[in-house]
Amino acid sequence: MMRLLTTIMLLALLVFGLWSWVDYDYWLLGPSPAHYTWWWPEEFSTIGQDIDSLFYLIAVMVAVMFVITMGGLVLFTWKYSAKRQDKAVFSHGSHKLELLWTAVPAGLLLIIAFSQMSTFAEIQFASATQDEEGNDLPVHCEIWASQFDWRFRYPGKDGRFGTNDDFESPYELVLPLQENEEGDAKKLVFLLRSRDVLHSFFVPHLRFKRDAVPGMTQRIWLGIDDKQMEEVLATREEKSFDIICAELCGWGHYKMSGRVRVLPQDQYEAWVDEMTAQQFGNS
Amino acid sequence: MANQRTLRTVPGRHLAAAGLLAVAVASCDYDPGHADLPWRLSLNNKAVLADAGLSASEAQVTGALTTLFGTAQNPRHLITGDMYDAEEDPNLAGDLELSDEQLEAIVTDNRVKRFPAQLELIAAGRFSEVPEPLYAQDLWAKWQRDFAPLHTGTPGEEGAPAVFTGADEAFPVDDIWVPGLGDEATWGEAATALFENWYPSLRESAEMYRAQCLHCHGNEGGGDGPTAEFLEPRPRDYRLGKFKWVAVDNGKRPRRDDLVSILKNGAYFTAMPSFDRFSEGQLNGLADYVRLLAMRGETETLLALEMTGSDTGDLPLDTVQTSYADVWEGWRDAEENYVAGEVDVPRWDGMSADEMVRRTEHGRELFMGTTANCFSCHGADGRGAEGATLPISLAEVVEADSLDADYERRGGYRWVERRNAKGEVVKDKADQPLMDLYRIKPDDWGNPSMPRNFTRTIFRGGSRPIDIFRRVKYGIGGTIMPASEASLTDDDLWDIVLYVKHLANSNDLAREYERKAAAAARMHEAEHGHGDHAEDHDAEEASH
Amino acid sequence: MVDIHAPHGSEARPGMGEPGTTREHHDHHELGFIQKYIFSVDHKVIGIQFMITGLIFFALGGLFAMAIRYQLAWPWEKMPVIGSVLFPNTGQAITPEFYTMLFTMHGTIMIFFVIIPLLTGAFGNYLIPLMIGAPDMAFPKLNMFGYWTMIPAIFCVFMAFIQPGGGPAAGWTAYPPLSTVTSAAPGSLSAQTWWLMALTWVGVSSMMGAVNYVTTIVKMRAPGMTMFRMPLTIWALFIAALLQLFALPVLTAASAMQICDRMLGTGFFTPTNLVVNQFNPETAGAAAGGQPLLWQHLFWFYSHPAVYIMVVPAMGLASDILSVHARKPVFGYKPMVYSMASIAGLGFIVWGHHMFASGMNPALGMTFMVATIMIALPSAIKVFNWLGTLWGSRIHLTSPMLFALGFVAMFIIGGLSGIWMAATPVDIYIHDTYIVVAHFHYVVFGGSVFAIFAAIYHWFPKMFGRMMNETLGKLHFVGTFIFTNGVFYMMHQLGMAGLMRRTADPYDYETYAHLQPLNEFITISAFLLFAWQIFFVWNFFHSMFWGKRVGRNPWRAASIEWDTPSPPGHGNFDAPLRVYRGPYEYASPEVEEDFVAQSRDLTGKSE
Repeated sequence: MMRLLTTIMLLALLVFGLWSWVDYDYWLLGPSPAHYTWWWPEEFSTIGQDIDSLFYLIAVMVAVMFVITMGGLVLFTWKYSAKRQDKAVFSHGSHKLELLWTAVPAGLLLIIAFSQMSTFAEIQFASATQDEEGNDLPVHCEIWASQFDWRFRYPGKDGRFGTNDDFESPYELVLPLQENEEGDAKKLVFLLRSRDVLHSFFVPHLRFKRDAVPGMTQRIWLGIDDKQMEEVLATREEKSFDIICAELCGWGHYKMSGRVRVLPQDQYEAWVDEMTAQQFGNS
Repeated sequence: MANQRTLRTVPGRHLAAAGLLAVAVASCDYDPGHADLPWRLSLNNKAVLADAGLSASEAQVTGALTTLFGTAQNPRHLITGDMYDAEEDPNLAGDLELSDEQLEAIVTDNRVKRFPAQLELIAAGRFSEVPEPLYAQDLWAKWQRDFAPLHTGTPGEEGAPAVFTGADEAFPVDDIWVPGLGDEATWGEAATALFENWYPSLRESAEMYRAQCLHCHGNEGGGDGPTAEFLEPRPRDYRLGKFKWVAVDNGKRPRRDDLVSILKNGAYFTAMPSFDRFSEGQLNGLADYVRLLAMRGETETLLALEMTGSDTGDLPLDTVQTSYADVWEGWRDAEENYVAGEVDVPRWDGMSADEMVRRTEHGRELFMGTTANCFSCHGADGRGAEGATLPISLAEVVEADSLDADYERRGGYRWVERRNAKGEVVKDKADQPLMDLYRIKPDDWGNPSMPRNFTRTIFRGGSRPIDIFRRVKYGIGGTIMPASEASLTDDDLWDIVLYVKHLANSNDLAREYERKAAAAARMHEAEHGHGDHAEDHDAEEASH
Repeated sequence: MVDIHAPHGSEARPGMGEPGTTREHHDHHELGFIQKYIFSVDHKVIGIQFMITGLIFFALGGLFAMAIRYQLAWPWEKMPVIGSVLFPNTGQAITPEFYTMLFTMHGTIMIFFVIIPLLTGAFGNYLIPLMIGAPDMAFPKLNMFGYWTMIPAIFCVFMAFIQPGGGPAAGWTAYPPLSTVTSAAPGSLSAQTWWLMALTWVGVSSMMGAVNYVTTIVKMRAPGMTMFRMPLTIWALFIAALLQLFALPVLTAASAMQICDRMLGTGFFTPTNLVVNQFNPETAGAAAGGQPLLWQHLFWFYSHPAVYIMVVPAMGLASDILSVHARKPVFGYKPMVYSMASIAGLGFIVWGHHMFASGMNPALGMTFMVATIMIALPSAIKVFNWLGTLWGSRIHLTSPMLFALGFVAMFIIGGLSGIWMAATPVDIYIHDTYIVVAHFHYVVFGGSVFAIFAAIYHWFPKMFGRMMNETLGKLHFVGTFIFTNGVFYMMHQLGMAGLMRRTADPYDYETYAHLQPLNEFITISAFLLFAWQIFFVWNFFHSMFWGKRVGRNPWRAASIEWDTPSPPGHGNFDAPLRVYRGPYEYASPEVEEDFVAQSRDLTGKSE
């Protein structure tokens, strides 16, 4: 009885663990709501694709290991818990097996480790926000984090901060869809800063997260994949996406929200015009 | 080997029972809801009544308030005869006061932000699966009452969701009222319209207020929720009817737009964050509820005063009605308090450098002058409460005891006892540059006034020129920031604003970053002998 | 003869035989109650003291978890019990700062007052002398102080709750400036200082224990007990003690620095020109110019090894229990030892993986990534070896064995999910989401706590001379296993949807709005999981007094702690002891029985 039950429970965990990769949401959780699945949100950044595929690369290896180890556990639990009078196999181990299951996972893990590096360098290295000659790319806007607000400060039309045509956008970060000479998405560079405690700038749809550390100015960049973005936008009426604070910043941590909206270049310029007009408006 | 049998296996029926229990518990739809939270009288008014020996009559005030505003669970404005004659109804605030664009924005937000999941399911005919939205119990009750019978739609093949097949049939427009629905409609259109045209009732807004606002602003809007005591500045107490970051004349009642704007933008660098994640309808609804709380608080104070002022210590009906009418008048006409909506804002972005320098210098002179007298609170360096020295010519010296006793706990400041010039022992702040600040008269809410530090580039009420202009010209209601002297022209005031912006800009961190980058570039040049960046940098410096 | 059918009278023998070592024998063993059970220097009593304390705090930490789960399922709705007592002004809904306090103290209590004291304090104390054949610890009085320094720690924790602001609320990681600037959070007023002092006291306690364990294991093994004849439990505890010895000073120094920042006006972690909640520490005379990331480095330099302090002993316990109840030698004994040692070694150079998104130099991030991914290797080797142990075995599905099997299953899931977190680009998305919460709960709850349950069921007969009820034990396992997965497996799903940790009310975000039903499911599973532990509590205390009496070796285990009476008397061993072989001689063809005790001399006469 216990033998059967234990085996079934372990087997259920194995099946469930694998099934969670396929689709078990409906019967358990009901229909997923508009535009959201129980899986991660769709992405439309230039690095998002890389991150997702690295995730799946690891997932494949992990799934294989999971089936081998968990399967072994289920099998052995069932097979060797039968009531028998003879003794167990008398073995203290096997040198060959040890070598095998050291070398193979080591190889797999090294593959995983080295496959991550270029993407990580592309995201975080200082060179990511510099041009080929090592000069800093111009800053698109400043991202200010404070308890419990996101503020996005744009340099205005003159492209420089600390002038009177700077305008602030509370809550909403607006990005243009820009292409460079090669037709790729242009990197948008931001200065990420915190006014008080630690915060973290997290945009699930862009697969981006970075802490805002008081006393430190971080240059970060985002790139928008326009085709991907159109696909995502086509499925939803709401055209903006959540910004979330990902580092505990006090009692109001959960309130610290913002939105990202991406506009085509012409619409973006119209938005800048509108914001400039508002900056000098009298409403 | 042989003791195996002493270890008994788990009886199957126990497991089955446990499993069933687990399933039963997991499948119940548990919704704890809220405990009732009655509105209380403010401590201040209780003290006023107690001083007059009228503590026993508190119930009269509470009763009158309940008649006028309902309860926290079911808030609503009483419609008096005069209001009825004048066709005024604060309960229908949204319908009466909103412009067409605002109504349109509310509908759009309901569609894309508020009810996308519900509307998608309705469009698919899956009426029975429409999930309950947050903070919309009246809407949900209506949905359940009028549309629930349709939930037994014909299911398709096994496992497929139930689809309501009658979505194209005519909707009984005469029997069931759905806002914004024409003379002819189908069930599907009616269901869509129900959600799209939703505007929160006061009860629904109160529900949202309890979840989102109450822990700071308190149940009665007294700015005294449980979290409030840790916040600096204190959350606003609505019960005075005064709000700081508004576009109305000094201390008058704010317009709906002012409240909604603060909800959307937050008061920057305070604990009031942006609530823009909520829909236009929800924010307008919250503004309605804030207005109700403010009116209730104002009425409460008036009633308490009336009671103590009368000979009998009673609260006659006409007194209640007059007080209510007075309070309502202030709010009804709030739109008329709007100021500086017509003023021309100078376009500094197109101004020549010489002109800028001249006007900034003029602004500085006014800032330092005795007419505008800005420096006396904001300091010669513009650092306000954080400045090194603080002339207190304008400030009224008060005893430290009259300040909020909790202040020490909130900010972590320490108090010491010291002798003042007259030799009296007073409580004072420990040795700090800000010491003088705490002799400044507290504001109407009892908090110490904190003149703004302009070098932090933080402006709570908005950093646009017009926002600062409004503060300079009309003052900040309830605080020691006064309206400007009549002798100063608008142009003078704009120059002051320009100087204030200059203080902010010249201390901007971005400038610091630029300077660092330029320094790094210079070092780079010194090492590598390139001269091309030096010119750019000089040009930059010149333009500062 | 070590026999399960040993007459019941055998444990009634006075436990004061001649110990098998040179330690001097005390004659006055008529100790008073206080000396015997309260201020005891006996490692067994101290171990049980640690265990009871840990279990009480386990219940407390569990209650905090229940409150957290309640808020996540039904945010801002009235909470039973807590709501009506503490929050009359909010309609019995908790406040946001109370929520931050809840998860801060849940983490703190579970890590510093439950898992570490249970594993190293309780089982370290109880098992080390018994399993290596020593009469007691090397420094019995230091050992006693090790327990009694937990009392000031407990005092400080309770003081923290009654401070204004209602308890520390900067997370169990206490990242500055949130934790150092008093105005930053209600919990940072004075509660945080008490929290830091509690941590320091816990550190002192652990340090005393670690010194004792290392000395005892190195110096006091019985004749014939070579290092490579020690049970894996002892190896694991030895390695964990070394980890504590090297890592704890850093945490102590770091918390001293934070206390200085908070109380003496230093600025180790405070950057210049910082204004939090309108308060600038510099205007109050404090220094600034510090760096918040410094704390993260110092904290994780301790707290990442602490993760291994929490799981390595569990691995040791599970290995022993698997071997005994599978009646088969541990597969690859030395690889097991080496892999634990390399986990410990690598454990010191992986702390940076908590900081991939922190703005730390990305080149450093790369290094930490490689080290972190490689630390999966020894864990994998251990899993394979556990499977190797089970292969060809004769499993007896007793309660300890069930929990040990559960441990392996959970550790597989928890270990594998860690690989995603180690990969820097992927971690950028999943950092601080519920995937991380799922991962470490699989390791710490599914791993460590399951191993602790297994060990309690396994060594309970030795501790109290009575068996725990097997039926209840199995019932306990079934529910715990199901509901643990119901709670924590689902959290992977929340994390994939991007749900952040420490978010009191996520459902106003568009991205999270659909997650409430899932959270409700998890919450109900968590309540059931918590309630299910009643079977354990009842079984534990009932069996302590009324359980079936057992002889010396009810499980027919080979290691030497089973040579002692149950429970062992003062001085442990009642006969001269010599060790002839490793601890896992099950199914040996040399003898008739299916095990050969470590102390059994096969060369001469049979016992």
